[in-house]
Amino acid sequence: MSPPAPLIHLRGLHHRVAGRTVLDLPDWRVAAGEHGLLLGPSGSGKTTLLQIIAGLLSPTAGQVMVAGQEMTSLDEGVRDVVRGACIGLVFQQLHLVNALTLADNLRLAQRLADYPPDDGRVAQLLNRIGLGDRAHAYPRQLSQGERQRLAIARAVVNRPALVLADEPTSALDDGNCTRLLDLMLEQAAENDATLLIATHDARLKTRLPARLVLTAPALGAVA
Amino acid sequence: MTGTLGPVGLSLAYLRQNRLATALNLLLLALGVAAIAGLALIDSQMQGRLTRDVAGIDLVVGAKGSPLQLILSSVYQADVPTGNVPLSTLEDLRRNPLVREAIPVALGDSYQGFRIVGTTPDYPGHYQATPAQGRMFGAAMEATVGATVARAANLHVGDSFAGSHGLTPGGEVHAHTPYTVVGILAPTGTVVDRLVLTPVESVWAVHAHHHHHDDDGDGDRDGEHDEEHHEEVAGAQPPREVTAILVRYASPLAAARLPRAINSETGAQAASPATELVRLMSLLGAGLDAFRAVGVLLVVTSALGTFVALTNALQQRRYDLAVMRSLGASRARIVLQITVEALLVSGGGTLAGLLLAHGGLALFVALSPKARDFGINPLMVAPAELGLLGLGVVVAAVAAALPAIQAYRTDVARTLAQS
Repeated sequence: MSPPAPLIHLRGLHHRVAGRTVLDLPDWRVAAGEHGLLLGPSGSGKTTLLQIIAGLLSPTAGQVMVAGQEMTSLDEGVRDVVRGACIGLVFQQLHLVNALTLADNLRLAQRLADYPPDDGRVAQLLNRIGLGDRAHAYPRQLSQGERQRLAIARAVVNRPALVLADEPTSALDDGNCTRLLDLMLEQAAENDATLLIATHDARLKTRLPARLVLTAPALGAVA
Repeated sequence: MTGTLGPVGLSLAYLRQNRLATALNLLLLALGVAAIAGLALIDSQMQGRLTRDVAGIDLVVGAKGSPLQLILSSVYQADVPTGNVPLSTLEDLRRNPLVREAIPVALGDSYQGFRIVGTTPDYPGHYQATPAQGRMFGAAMEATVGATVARAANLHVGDSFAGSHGLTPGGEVHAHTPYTVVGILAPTGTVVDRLVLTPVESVWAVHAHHHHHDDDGDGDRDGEHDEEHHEEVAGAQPPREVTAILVRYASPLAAARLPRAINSETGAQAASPATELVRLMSLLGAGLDAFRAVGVLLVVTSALGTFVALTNALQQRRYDLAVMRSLGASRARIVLQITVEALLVSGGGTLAGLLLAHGGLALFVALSPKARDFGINPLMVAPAELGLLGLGVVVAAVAAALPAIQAYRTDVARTLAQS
């Protein structure tokens, strides 16, 4: 019996911007249900790598397999669909939609990914992140920690197989950091999702096995 | 397209978020559209009214002078008459086989600024004016008054009143020859509403009693009474004259023959209302064109304003649009989103402008009885308004094009990585 196909498989990934190498990675896999940590100082290419895995960016060379799909060979339109269906994203700047209520922010994610509206799921997630009674509030009325939690709720609302998070905890104090990580791990477990967190936050290292360390001249090493 | 999070719902959410900017933007566009729509409405209704008044009248025969003045004075009851023609002209026309109908119009007096028109029942008949109360005039000194006259001068069936000399208020009052109101006409939306109708014989009788004899014709230019021409002519009847004759042709052949015959063989002139109407519209046209140019300038300005506002709004939204892409939305969905938002703003602004134009016109009519008498109907829709709606769509398309192209080309990864 062959081992199960990895959820993420990077092969010979190489990315250049304006002739400068920003990523040059060895082969790297993350099995389904496992969680990974991308470590490295800022500017080491963590965000770029997350975007390549999410199919938002095409690498200069190499292959990215996500859930058996080779993202790098897909048409852009198909990549949009795969991303909507299989990948949840938590951005460093959160990028919540300020014109919409908290509930509508989650519903928008369902709708744009072509999932049927599921208000039960929306309510359940808002309750879980402690914002159940503020479904009709707007993101600007939230604290930083609350916004961070909402961004995570949006990333998992469609029960994706893979959740990519970019520095989700860097702006949080220790208490919030712990709660947020608990939330992410709990949601990942509930939905059988794989977490991949890019961070330079040392507090996370104790909770997740470090998998890939990006070093300053953008060369990765498996830790 | 539907639901709170479809292109329309999402656009509305964003427009709500920027309430003030949205409102100002809509107002700007609405004002421009209202200006040009109001103009189009007045223009089309005025043309409609002018055309209605002249409908069915093929030729107007009257004293020599300006043909436009003849039409204005005897059809639109607006200008002073060119003078009078002898009654024999009417009789000749009635005998002419080329003429189906010849209706006399005898002017000279007025009541509270409304013209007293000596004519036959054929005249109100031509405008499909029928008595709402009482009956049509029959004998001399009987008067059937138009709806507007009855309301403004508070005349009722059975009332009597004296006309004053001249076509504007302030002339000498013919107190010894009063008229009796025998009927009040239903409103027609034509010139008849503003007239007092009476047999031609009344006009003759008033001026016979008055022994009035104007050498320069009865159409006193400005209602002034020419005292120096006031002569007692013992035993002399005033000449039996009419101011103009409204003619309907019996056959198309008449158009080729009759005007030329009248103009060359008689002392009268024949003027074609259709021709003069075209001339009148081209005279008014210059003024209307100037207004129209201002209106177009307003619309272009507000269209530019809408363009700038939309471009700005969508520029600020590039993160949100990138987020939508990252959540699985296709490029087409983003372009649709932008187009819908542009359409909502420009469509909303255009519609608001049209409503404003009709509302403004309704207010104008409510405040100005003249406008109502003129037959301006604020509820009537001018064909140009459809064109304005089309223009709104074009503005939207142009305003949406640039941001849509930008959004289409946006590097989602780079935008999301920016802060």
